[in-house]
Amino acid sequence: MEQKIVQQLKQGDEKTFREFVENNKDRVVNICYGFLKNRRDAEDTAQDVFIEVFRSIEKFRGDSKLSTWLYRIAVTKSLDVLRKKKRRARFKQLTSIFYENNFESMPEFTSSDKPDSEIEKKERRDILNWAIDKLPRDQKTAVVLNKLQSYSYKEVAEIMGKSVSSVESLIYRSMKKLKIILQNYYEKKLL
Amino acid sequence: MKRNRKTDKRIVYEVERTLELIEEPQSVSTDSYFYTRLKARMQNPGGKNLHKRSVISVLQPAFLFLLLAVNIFTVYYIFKQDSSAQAQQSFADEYNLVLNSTELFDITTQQEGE
Repeated sequence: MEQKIVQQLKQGDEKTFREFVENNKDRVVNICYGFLKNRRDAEDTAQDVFIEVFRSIEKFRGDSKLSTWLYRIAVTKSLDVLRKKKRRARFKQLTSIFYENNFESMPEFTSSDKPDSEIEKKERRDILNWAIDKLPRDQKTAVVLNKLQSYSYKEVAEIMGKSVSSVESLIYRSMKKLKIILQNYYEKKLL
Repeated sequence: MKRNRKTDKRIVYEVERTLELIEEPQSVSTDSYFYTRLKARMQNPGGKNLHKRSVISVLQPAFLFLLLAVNIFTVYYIFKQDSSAQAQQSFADEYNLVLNSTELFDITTQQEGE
């Protein structure tokens, strides 16, 4: 079945491509969203992913599942977008030092009296996303796919082209590091 | 706030509560026009970037030209200043004049003294 789809995609069959996009768009957009945390950026990047698939399907050798290959492109593209965004942010920071002395941009934390409020949850999620963003590339990828997007260790291993045990170790290390980042953050905010 | 057992406890609590959120999946859904937009983008490669690139392709040479013009003007202005200073100097030498105004003032004060 998959071979047939690949064959038809290689032949440039528009109906197959449309079906392929419709069947996978939500998963691709969600992977991109896991990294970019912005719906519009995620959709734009997902479009780039499908354009890339359309253009380079000839290069697909069938070593992995088509979906795995697709998700791998989604991860790579999202990380590229993130890198470019960070570069732009660094440049902005460089220019902003002439106006204010704010080198480190940290998310806001307010001690809320209503611990279960939606605002508090959103704030907490922003802090978590900020902390995840500070992780090294591989750790971040593993966390986003496994924790935020609920892919199994096996699926993450396939997407990242690593063994299951190295993904397990990546996740273990990233959780440890996340704890340290968050501890430092709350220490700065509460002390 | 001073660091004490209470603050330490609070930090641990905040870290744990924030980390709990990692288990809650974050998902967004796409609308039914996703493919239409994708198709439009494939048919019009570049899109808004193409416009941006065309603006850059006009602005870049214009900026370079402006930079060149400023350079030429600066060099011309420096040479012009140099040559007028030279002319002033040679004029002053010829008529045995002192160009420095303070020295001129000194001469007059000397004359008044005499």
